Amino acid sequence: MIEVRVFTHPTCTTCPNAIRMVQRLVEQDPQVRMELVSLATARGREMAKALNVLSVPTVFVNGTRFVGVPAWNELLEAVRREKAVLAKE
Amino acid sequence: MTSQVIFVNSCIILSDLYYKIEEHLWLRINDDKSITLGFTDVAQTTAGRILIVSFRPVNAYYKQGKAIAIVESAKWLGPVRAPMSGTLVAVNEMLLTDAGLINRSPYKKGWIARFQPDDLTAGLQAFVTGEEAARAYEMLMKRRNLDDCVHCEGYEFPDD
Repeated sequence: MIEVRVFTHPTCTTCPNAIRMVQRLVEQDPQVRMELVSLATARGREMAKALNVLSVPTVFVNGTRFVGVPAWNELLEAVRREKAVLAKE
Repeated sequence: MTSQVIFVNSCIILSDLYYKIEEHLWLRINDDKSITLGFTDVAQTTAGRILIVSFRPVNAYYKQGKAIAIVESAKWLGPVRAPMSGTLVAVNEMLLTDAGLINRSPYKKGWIARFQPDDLTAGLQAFVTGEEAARAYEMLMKRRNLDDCVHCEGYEFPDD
């Protein structure tokens, strides 16, 4: 399973774009799972601190980090790379 | 003075600026001893999306504490007060059409006003700077139970 984690906040105007993009990815690829992490919650802020997330949206495809809304192709490429890693394991 | 970035609960504090913590105001001393002032990173987070900024007349004299600008956000409306008595020499007119600059660049493009104080040395007594400012902000955030700072896409970090 490839986990795509999206860090968001209610005041962030571009976060919905990032969420929609990852939702689209989830819909077309059953191996992808999305986790939304809101910095409006204590848990979200703790996670952000632990991963040194300084701005939203920040998107993680497993270990690959995108600051801001990622380009669709870059997101697909990150997923493809993660799949290749999983296939080797 | 070299500017260092200090993080307090994910909020950016610049070590070379002076802060009036309770009012979330920063000021920078310019070469001509005028001051540039603006809202801190904590202020932009607490206020939420800033929608409108309006200014009082430029080249007018204001006593300390008088409103020189009004900032309105989705959940807050309040004045920016003259930090010390003096003349308002300039305002950031870019904020009239793009108030969100305060959210995106609180310490650079989102500056609010320039002010020529009567007595800068005396006025600075009410401000803290450097590590002292960071500690004071940490205590204030704890006391008021303020959330960590949030930086939305497009935020201009000080070293950008």
